[in-house]
Formats: sequence, structure tokens, C-alpha cells
Amino acid sequence: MNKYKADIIVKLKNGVRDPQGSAIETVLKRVGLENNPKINAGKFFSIEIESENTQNAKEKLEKIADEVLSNPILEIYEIIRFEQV
Amino acid sequence: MRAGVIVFPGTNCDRDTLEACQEFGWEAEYIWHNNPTSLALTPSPLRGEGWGEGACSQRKLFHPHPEFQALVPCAEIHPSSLKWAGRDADSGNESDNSLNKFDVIFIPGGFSYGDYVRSGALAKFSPVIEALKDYIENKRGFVVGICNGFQILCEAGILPGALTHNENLKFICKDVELGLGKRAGNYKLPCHCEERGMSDAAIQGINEENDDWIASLHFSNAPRNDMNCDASLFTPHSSLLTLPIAHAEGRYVADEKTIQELKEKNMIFLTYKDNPNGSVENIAGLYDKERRIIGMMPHPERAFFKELGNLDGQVIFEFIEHEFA
Repeated sequence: MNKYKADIIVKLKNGVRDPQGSAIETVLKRVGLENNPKINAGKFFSIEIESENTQNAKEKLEKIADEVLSNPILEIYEIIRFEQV
Repeated sequence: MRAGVIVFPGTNCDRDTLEACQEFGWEAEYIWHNNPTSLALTPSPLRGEGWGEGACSQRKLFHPHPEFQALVPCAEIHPSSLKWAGRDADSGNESDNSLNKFDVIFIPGGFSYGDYVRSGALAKFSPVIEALKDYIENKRGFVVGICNGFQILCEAGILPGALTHNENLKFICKDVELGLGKRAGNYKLPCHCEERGMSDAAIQGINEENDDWIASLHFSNAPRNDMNCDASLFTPHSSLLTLPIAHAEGRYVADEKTIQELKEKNMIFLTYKDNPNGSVENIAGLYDKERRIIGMMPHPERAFFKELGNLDGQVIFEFIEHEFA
């Protein structure tokens, strides 16, 4: 068994309303850090798993991301870093 | 009617829901989320028996199952009232691993698994949800998800769509007015208006007001117990219920296709009169296609006792009982 590490981000799909992002935009404008910000807030997960090979590891990570970390009705996920430890 | 109230780690509306069931005259039990039939508590102490003197402050949950003991430190329950579903605490006989003894199963509100990742996201993986899916497939009885329960039903795919953060990002805690959705066909519920002295003219007036089936519901129904209740405790003479909501993730979201289907199949159970959270189509509650499952964000169990000044929650239970019978 090999160990694999991955970083997964979960974002709202285009078109899904993002009140968190809007709240941050409001504050950025108010504080003067940016006049016309566009922000979408998401989630970050850092995962370590065990698997026989890279292929299986990636499949397992996708299953985890699809079934637990994200709600496919509202969100998409992206594996942004993947490495064998 | 026999009701089961599912309890997850983090659930906190279980007791209110169970008390409401008992107030309504149903038998009721808790169902622990993990290994459902090995753990069901008969809640007799909640009605005043078995407390004894000084039974307040520092109550510990006594239960032989260590997992339940650790996670639900609440009321004290006398050992003799403990009963495992399908077997005695002493004899430990095996029984079937199903929820079939219940006519209605509630998934109450609260913060199952701390709302971690998303509300209801982790609860959907508990063994009791598998048992619930069998219960639904066998058409054994009714399922009611309240607040977090509604979220769990959506996460589990038992009801369509999803519930997410309120539009204004606030936790909203207030009474709201709600309409019951249109149903296909004519549907008359028993009317207790005569018992409360409503004149024939008044009843006729309500019937003429709208052709929706709910006109026959007459929200000035008398309460089921024998208390002499003030008529003003029910939202009077209108097609609107008043129930409390208390949620941060109550905005219902679904794609166009799903919304179309909800409308066509009369799956919208409750709608907000003044949308507090941005839910699409003002949806506050849904049916499944078969109309044996309800998910709703408002809390009927919190509008159940005359001491709290609102009895409209009893209307929901009356509806459930009628639907089931």
C-alpha cells in the first residue's frame, strides 16, 4: 500500500448564489482594499489516503470528493494537488 | 400510531418532537442513528413518571450503550424503562434490523454532526438512513424531516434539491406565515369547527374563500387533548399557518427541471408567505412523489402546547395522521 496526499477545493457552481462571497465583497469595498471586487468563497480539504496505485488513489479521491466533500447539486470539486508520499 | 424519532450526534430537537408526538396521543420512541434496532428508549420519565424528588439539574443519560451515553448527556432515564427495540435490555434477544414497528418516523431538527461540511452531509451516511430507505421502499409508513431532518433527506437524495445558506447569511429565528400547497383532487379533512362553536355561515365562508383543499382544514381546529383552549391559539380563518423557523441553511435550491417537476406533481407542501431566506419558489416544505415523505424547514413541534401560545403545529400532525390513515 502506498500513501497519497491531495488537496481538494470545493466551489459553488456558476449561477449558484454566493452570499458569503457577497459579504466579503461588501467589506473589501467598505475598507477600501478594492473598488470592484468579485469573490466566490469555497472550501479547502487536505487529504491523505492509502491505495495500491495512482489510478486507484485518484478514483478514491474523486469518490470522496463527490460523495462527501461536495454536494453535486450546488458544487464542483477540483483536485489541485496530488502526490505520492 | 407509533412514532419513531431518529437521533444523530448533535440532534437537539428530538425531545420536543417526541413530546409533541405524545401530546398528540401517539406512542413514541427514540431511534439512535447507529445500529437502529439495538437502541430504542421508552421515554416515560419525560411525562413525569420516575423522576422522583429533586430530579432537575445535573441529569445524566443512563444507557448501557456507551456511545449513546457519551454523546447524549441529557435526561435521566430510569433503567427499568429502558427497552431496546425488539428485545429487552436484559434478555438481549435478536430482532429484525428494521424500522417496521413505526407508522411514522421523524427526523428532528438540530445540528447533526455539527453541520460539518454541510448540514446533513455526514448524517446521510448513518446506518439508520439505510434502514429508512428500506422503510420507504416497503411503503411501511410516513417520514417527516423537520429542519435538519429536511436537510438530511435532501442530502440523502430522498427528496430532490438542496438546502443552503440563507440569502442574508444570518441565522433566522422567528415565526413565519406559511401556505399549504395545492393538492390534486378534492380532499377533505375532519373539521372540528362545530366543537368550537363556529357558525355554519363562518364555515361556509371559509369554504367559499378558496377552492384549495386546505379550505376544509379549517385551521381553527380544536386541539386533540381535552384542554379548554382559547380559539386565538390557532391562526384563525385563513389558509395560512404560523410556525417558527430557526435556521442558517434554509434556502431551498433546485434546478429548473426539478422545479418544473415539483410543480407538476404537486410536491410543494409548504410555502413562505414572505420569503425569509431566498428559497426558490418560496418553498418551505416538500413532499416526495408518492406523498409519503415530508420535509419542512419550520418546526411544528414548537407550536404544539398552549403554554407557548401557538397550536398550529398540531395541524401538521393532524394532517400526517389523516394522510397515513
